[in-house]
Amino acid sequence: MDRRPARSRAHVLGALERAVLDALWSGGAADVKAMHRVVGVPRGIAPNTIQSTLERLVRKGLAGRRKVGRAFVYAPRLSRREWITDELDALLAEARGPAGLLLAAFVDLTERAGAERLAELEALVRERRRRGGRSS
Amino acid sequence: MRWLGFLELATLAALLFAALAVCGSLALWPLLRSRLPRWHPRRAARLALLAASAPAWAPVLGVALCLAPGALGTVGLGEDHCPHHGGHAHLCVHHPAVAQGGAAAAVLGTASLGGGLALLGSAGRLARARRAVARLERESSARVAGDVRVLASAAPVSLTLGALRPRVVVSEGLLAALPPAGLACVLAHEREHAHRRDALRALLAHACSWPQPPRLRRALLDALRLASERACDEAAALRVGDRLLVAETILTVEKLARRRRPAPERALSCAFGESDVAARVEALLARPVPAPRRPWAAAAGLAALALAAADPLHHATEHLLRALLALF
Repeated sequence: MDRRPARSRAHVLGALERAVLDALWSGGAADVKAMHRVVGVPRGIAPNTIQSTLERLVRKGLAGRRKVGRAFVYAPRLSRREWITDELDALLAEARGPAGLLLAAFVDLTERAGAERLAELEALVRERRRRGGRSS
Repeated sequence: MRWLGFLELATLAALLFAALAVCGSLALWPLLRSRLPRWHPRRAARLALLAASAPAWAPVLGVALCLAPGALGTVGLGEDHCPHHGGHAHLCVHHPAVAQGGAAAAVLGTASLGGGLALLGSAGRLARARRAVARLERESSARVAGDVRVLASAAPVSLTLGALRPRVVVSEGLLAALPPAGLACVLAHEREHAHRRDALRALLAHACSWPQPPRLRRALLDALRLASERACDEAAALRVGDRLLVAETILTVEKLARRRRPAPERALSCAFGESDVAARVEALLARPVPAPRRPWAAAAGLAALALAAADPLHHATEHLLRALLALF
């Protein structure tokens, strides 16, 4: 079963949510008490705040929870790599919009050349390479 | 209230110059479109940027030239000519007209409000875009080749992010998919984007071109983007010493992008009737166009011409403003 949240959207997170997610990625699944030790204590934050932050991550589809004994254990629902790809896709989806003004890509991010045209161009390049080498 | 009169006239004059710039862009675009692919991409990008942003710079330049005769007279570099021609409102900082009221005041008010709202809208969109780019930048931590950051993603992407301080970012997916020579092409291309501040140019063109008719605006922005890409391709070809290698790399990355996400194929009705990839590869297969020489000599010549035309432009604008105000 695909447990991953919907793709190609930016996940807007607060600083604490991001810190908790980072801790889940680096330390793996954790309950509120363990997460409070890692993220809450250094920041002087109460366990209740950590718990509500973890619940927000669950609601946003970024973390899952299961009951172990009397406590919930939280785990990330997508890896850091998948998260980055989501961020990238969200940015690329906006490439024809305002976000596109702040980036330049090696190939057009929103429109593709036709398959036949690509094959034709490849044949042209191969032919030129065969005949003339570097064409510099 | 005399400064209000000056502002009313200057706004009317600026709107006139903006309208002239739009008409000029519409009239010259067919010629420009046919010439752009034949010019060196650096020159093509400069001209596409100038044409797209004409509705912004033409009013500033036009009003400045109209004010030049009076300003030069004040500092003793010319005759104070305003007293020689009475009978109409002066577009001059030293003999400002009294407030015209009525239509002129309405134009000033509408232009100020519209300009303010447009600025606010642009600032909001830019802030959103900046946040999106900053989020991605934060995720790219590791570095390769000093100035290039790596994004831990399988998507085969290379980007130059940011307008003022552009940074080159490549994905792990692209690093894994390309051979070292291909990667050298990509990095040389992206570094040229950063060097040329292409994102800043695109931002300026976008912000300054909104008065252009939508289809013309899209075509001009597309032309600027294609010329910028071609300029970076040329720089990459010079750097790696092999134009065909750059063409091959473009095709490889395009195929990787197709494999990951088949986006809509480009319609045949776009700027040059083909995708950017096809136009770029064909340009690399063609004989290279010599780089433009002394672009500033032409700019200095045009500036001298504009200064020489300042006096007649000043009078013509004042007569036109008088005729316009008489209508209301």
